[in-house]
Amino acid sequence: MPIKPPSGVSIHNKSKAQKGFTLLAPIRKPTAYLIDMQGNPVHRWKLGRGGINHAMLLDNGNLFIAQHGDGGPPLMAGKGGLLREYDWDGKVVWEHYDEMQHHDARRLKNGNAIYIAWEPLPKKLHRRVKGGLPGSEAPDGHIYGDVIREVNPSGDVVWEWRSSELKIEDYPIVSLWNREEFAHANTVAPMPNGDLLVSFRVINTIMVIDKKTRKVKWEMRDERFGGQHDCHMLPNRKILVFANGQLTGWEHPHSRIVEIDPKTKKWGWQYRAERGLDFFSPHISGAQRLPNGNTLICEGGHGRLFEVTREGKIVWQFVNPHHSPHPVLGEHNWVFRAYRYTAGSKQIRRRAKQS
Amino acid sequence: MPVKPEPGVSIWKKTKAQRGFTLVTPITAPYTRLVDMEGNTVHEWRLKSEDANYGRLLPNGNLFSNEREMSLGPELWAGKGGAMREYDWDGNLVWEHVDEMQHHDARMLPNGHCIYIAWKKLSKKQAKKVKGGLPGTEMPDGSILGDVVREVDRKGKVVWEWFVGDLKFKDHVIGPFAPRHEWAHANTVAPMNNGDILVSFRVTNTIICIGRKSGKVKWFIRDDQWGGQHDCHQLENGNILMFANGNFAPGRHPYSRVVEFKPKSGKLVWEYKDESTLNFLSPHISGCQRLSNGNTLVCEGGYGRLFEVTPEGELVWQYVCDYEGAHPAAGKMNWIFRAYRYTASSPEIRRRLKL
Repeated sequence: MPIKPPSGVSIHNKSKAQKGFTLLAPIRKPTAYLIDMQGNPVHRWKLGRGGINHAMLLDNGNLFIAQHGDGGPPLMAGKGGLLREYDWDGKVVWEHYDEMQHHDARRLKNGNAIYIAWEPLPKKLHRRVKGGLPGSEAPDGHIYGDVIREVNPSGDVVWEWRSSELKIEDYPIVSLWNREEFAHANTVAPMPNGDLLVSFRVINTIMVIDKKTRKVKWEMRDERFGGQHDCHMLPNRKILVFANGQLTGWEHPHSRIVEIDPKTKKWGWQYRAERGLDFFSPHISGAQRLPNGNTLICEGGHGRLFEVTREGKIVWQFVNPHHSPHPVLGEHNWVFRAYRYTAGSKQIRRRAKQS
Repeated sequence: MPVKPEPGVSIWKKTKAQRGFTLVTPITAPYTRLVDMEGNTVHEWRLKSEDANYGRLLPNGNLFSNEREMSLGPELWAGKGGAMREYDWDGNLVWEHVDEMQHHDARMLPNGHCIYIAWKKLSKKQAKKVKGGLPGTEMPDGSILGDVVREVDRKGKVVWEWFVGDLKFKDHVIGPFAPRHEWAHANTVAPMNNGDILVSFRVTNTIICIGRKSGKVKWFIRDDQWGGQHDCHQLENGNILMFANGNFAPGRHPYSRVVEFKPKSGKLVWEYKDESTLNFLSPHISGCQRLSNGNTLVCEGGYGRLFEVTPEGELVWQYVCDYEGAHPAAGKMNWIFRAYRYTASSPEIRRRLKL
């Protein structure tokens, strides 16, 4: 979205926007904020070591966060490591460190945590990884596979699934992506029945992994996703996806929010900008369906959070004022995902007041 | 772009910007305009065609205009031209040449001849040798259009021609996300200081130098990181300045750069990119011009944004085009192919305008 609005709130249609508080967690910064509809911070969490990767509020009203940790493999995208839960007042009530953790992490209903981690693929599997740019393995010569790992509150591993369990040769990497990962998981979203919806960026694939049998129950590869993020099941049984829209074909790159019917794999409701280029984040990003039916969109690469109606009208817009360096892209006001919570929600419990 | 620029001039650092007049030709508009440093229109030409690719002033003070005749030639939209026209200051047509196969670029040479790019169907045998690209994206009849560089004299007689079929097919494979209907989407023909000809091919990320006397390719450079480059041209210092669009650049997010490099070796001498790289991206069209004070005028064509940067990358002037045109796939677009700045005393302006 290179024609950027100024920082802060630039659009607020009071009668149409979903009232509430938005969790703003600027990447690699030390503070997470709840902002009101005017963009004013009404609550903040000062975090200990490690900048933010991604954050969300839990049903118990605490903040659950993946922070940037030390160690781990020589990969930068989505690097996390330190998972923490903070109470409202900023006290750490739980912590787990895994230097291989990256991108997503969630608290499960049973109190365990589930997250994505890297693991070097055994060298003998390398030749089964098809596609990608020749010679673009990680600097240490590895191809890193993804592990979905569940730990109990004490940090013991209780369940694991590996991308190397897939028939690897059936999932070729998009030709212009690197071969350093198979296959850059960026989302693990628990479904109502406990199964896991996982997104793999460099193979344009989302899949449901059966929690009990560990088998792939459902999968969908669609090159139009263009390195998608933040797939998750909605109450209407549709899957909401942020389709970043990179390397999709000859048309100009543009992002879309899409609702997918898992039964037919057809694209239903969509949002895109009238001029495609005006809404485009090649990386990170997410979307959240709000109680009033609107959708909150995080155009992560431009730090733009905005709410659209079913008809695609923008009724709220905010640009993140907090910048931090991106290892390749320069100074960046990036945001991985953002969430809106109403004042009466379990997450807020009327502890925050509109300024 | 860090701040949303409204149409018109939003940045002007008077002591650092190169004073002059900027020639603006919005694609799909029936006019070419000179605007002053404040963005006011100070001179305008109504064009014979309803639509133009771009205009440029000649050292004789006339306007040379690349116009689009949509009803002529093959059914292709991108870069479609057809008519090359010269108008005097008062808008009188003084010369024209119509070639329904002309596309993208045409230049007036010092000897009064005109050199331009045109399409020419490849033979079936040649078309078979074209590798790469998106399968099944040839012309509707299965053919592939090759590029010709053609020179005509004042009477329109062809006096020199070079055909892309002279290239070695195996050295010029189309990028994996580009269509196959053209080999290889030439978008620039630029006479060099010694009379040789530089040509840019978008879908092969390649520029070539054709010897004017020999009619043979002297050297070529392919750099996939250029990502569908435009507007390569030689500077007075001998280096080549070029707009590297950066779309489909392998292994990274799309962002544009302006690059200055040595001919033949391609050794990088200078580059501009936004400090927050994602904020500067035009996946198509676009250009750049070195100004007499050493600054560079950049045309971020897909956003209709013209801006001037110092050698250190400081933004000292910025203008956004107010004409809302149409793009067949991307919707409303205030797009500009190329723009040029001229000082008041230049041969092109001849003090016919006052600052």
